[in-house]
Amino acid sequence: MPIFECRDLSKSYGDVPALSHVDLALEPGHIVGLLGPNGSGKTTLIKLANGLLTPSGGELLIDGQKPGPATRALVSYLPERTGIPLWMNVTQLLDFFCDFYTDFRRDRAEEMIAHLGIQMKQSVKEMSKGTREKVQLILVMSRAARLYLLDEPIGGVDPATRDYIIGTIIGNYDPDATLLISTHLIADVENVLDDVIFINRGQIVLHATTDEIREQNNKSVDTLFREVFKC
Amino acid sequence: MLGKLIKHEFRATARTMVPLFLILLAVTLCAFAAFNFLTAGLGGMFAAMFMFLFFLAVLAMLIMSFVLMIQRFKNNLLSDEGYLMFTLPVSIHSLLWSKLIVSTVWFIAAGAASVLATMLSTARAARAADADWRGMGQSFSDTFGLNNVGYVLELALALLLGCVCLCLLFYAAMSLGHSFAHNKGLWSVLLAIGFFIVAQMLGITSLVAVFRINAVNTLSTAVQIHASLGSMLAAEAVYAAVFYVVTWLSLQRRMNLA
Repeated sequence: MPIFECRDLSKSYGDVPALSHVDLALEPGHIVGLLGPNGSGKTTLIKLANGLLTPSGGELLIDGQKPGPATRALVSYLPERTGIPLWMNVTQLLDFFCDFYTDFRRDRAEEMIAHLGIQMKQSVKEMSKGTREKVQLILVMSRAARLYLLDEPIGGVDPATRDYIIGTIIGNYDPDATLLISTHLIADVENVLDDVIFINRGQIVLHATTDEIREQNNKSVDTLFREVFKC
Repeated sequence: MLGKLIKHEFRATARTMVPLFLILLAVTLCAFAAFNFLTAGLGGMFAAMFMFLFFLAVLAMLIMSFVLMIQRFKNNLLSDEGYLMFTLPVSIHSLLWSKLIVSTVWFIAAGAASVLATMLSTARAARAADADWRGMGQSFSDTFGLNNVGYVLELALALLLGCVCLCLLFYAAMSLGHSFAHNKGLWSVLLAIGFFIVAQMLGITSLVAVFRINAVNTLSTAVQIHASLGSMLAAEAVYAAVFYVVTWLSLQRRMNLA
């Protein structure tokens, strides 16, 4: 059974379509890049998977179920924005995740936090924007989830931080899980992707493995992306 | 999961409310001491100053419990923190109930602390006036033929439901207001005012209807007061249910996080 499945999924904001009749199935154990230009529907698709939006048509299933409390226990979600409460300190954040997620690996989170040199009593408010993003990523990747949905994890950060983020993602995800990374910075993630989905104007224009793309087109995913989405 | 949500909600709100309770306690003790030991000349001025500070502290606590109720709902559910809260493995009902229970507890605690603090700081004045509370209660019962315990219970329930209603009115206005694409804050304020006006109009209309029924049926004063309180409780329960459904539907169907 696919861990992530869209059947004729559509979403409109008023009269503006964000996703149009999307059919998609992702199997467990893959790292998938959801690639598309800004406004192509990547965030909308991820929000729908988390139940933060309701579909205008069709359906989206996580492990065969519609998004809800049960599927949220299976999904580890990194939003585009920093959503961790500013007033909490690191210990309180870890307590919070331990309380709500049975798959949260506290020891792993503490190890990564210590590696970054962040004090356990330091509040989120006192951290820089970059550190907050790293802490949020650590919390998300410290879960042994079945599906990771990462929305623009490397957007708007310097190259060194990008390397740290990608290293943290790859070093901590469960190989049996599915990892969906939405981004338009293809070159940075291309080497870690098993599958690639190109999305444009709310429609899936390509779904293939990275090997297929390289063999059939004799091009890197980044080069193909630049050709497909040429302005 | 509701228990865990309530625990974290108390942890988040106690940071603001506990210091306010401590300030109120300190100012109350100062006002009590000033009233009992500083009564003449410069001492009288100090007593007046502490009394003024006492009223400020009471006001601050009541206002803060109200502001905190709105602020927690907006910041925790409708702003960036919403990405965390709405992706927890809990239902929207649990999120709503946790906010509602904690806000109501703080309202009741703030109200009770204010009453107790007022009684403590004015104890000397009440003693001096030789107030006979028991006698006053008895004469009230004799005049209106009321069961004081039942009357107090009805009033307490009305106050409790009133707090719940107040929270839900603002929750409904904010959650509906934030489903608009633009001017979310303005929409929330306008909707809160609109809900308040409609609730007041319906409340006054139903109260007038109850009075008319009472007048026609020539009921005793006690029954009339119980009937009025009963109808008020019923109206509050209906408002609470309507506002709850509006809030839940807005968050379930029309959530619009930034």
